[in-house]
Amino acid sequence: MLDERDRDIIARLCGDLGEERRPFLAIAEACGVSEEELFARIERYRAQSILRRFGAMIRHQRAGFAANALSVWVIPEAAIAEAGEKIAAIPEVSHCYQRPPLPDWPYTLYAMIHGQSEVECHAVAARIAAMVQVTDYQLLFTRREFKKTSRQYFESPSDMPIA
Amino acid sequence: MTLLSPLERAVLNRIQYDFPVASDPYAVLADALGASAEAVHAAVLLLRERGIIRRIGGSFDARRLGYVTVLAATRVTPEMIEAVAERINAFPDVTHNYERAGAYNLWFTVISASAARIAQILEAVRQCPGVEVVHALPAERIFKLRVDFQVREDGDA
Repeated sequence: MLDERDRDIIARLCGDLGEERRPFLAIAEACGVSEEELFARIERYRAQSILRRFGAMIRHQRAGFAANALSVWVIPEAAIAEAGEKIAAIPEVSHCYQRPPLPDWPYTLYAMIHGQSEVECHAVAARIAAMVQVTDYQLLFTRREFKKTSRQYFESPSDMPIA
Repeated sequence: MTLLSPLERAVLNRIQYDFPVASDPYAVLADALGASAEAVHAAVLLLRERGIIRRIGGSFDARRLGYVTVLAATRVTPEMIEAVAERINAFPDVTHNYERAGAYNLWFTVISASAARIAQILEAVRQCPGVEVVHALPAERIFKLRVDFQVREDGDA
């Protein structure tokens, strides 16, 4: 369980560590704990899989991924688990989720594909199609990025999930 | 395209997955990368300045923190898409918002403290001029969720 101090620490860790040479010291001080206590709590968040990763968030486009496509696949319910695992193993795929179909939208498996070009993304999709033996799919290329941020958690009293 | 030095490349490859949680993190990185702590710190500051590093921090599991998430598939009249995107972006609960090719042309993700709050946001979007339809697509199963990528070793990064 998370106490009030945990929520305060997590709220700060969602932000940017800053440019200091010893960046955790300021966070520890602001939260009223020692650095050691802060590190112990962060390790606990990791162990409990609350914290997925602590690291640098980089800009994909500037780091060389020129084409990004949300690929959507029509896969029967019985085959989804196997297909999902296979697609998840592909390095060019960053996210892979099962989602419900819509009346005019039969797709149930969603996988984000990243490549240096649209051609490269199509090639990855063709590989997936052959692997999972599905021909009904679409690549929804990213045309414009309107927003891409990290969520700030526990920032205000009105933004607290009911425990 | 941005050219990265070998040290910058090595630093990015390491810290996008794991920035040391330690009193002197740059000294820990220096040991691992065979450079001085000062050089590693300077490289990170420069990567920030160039906008390649957006931030250094934690990526938390929204669901495990008690939050509710959804992907919204939206169809918007093309002339109105910018105005609608702006309205959607104004919600702090919205983390990603992309225009995509296809029958649904605006896709955004919402992370909220409750399902009721998500319903409220989607309803507000439905009321925006130009919005034809908004569908909530919750994740039923997660096969993979990876935040970042290896910076390539070859060519321009």
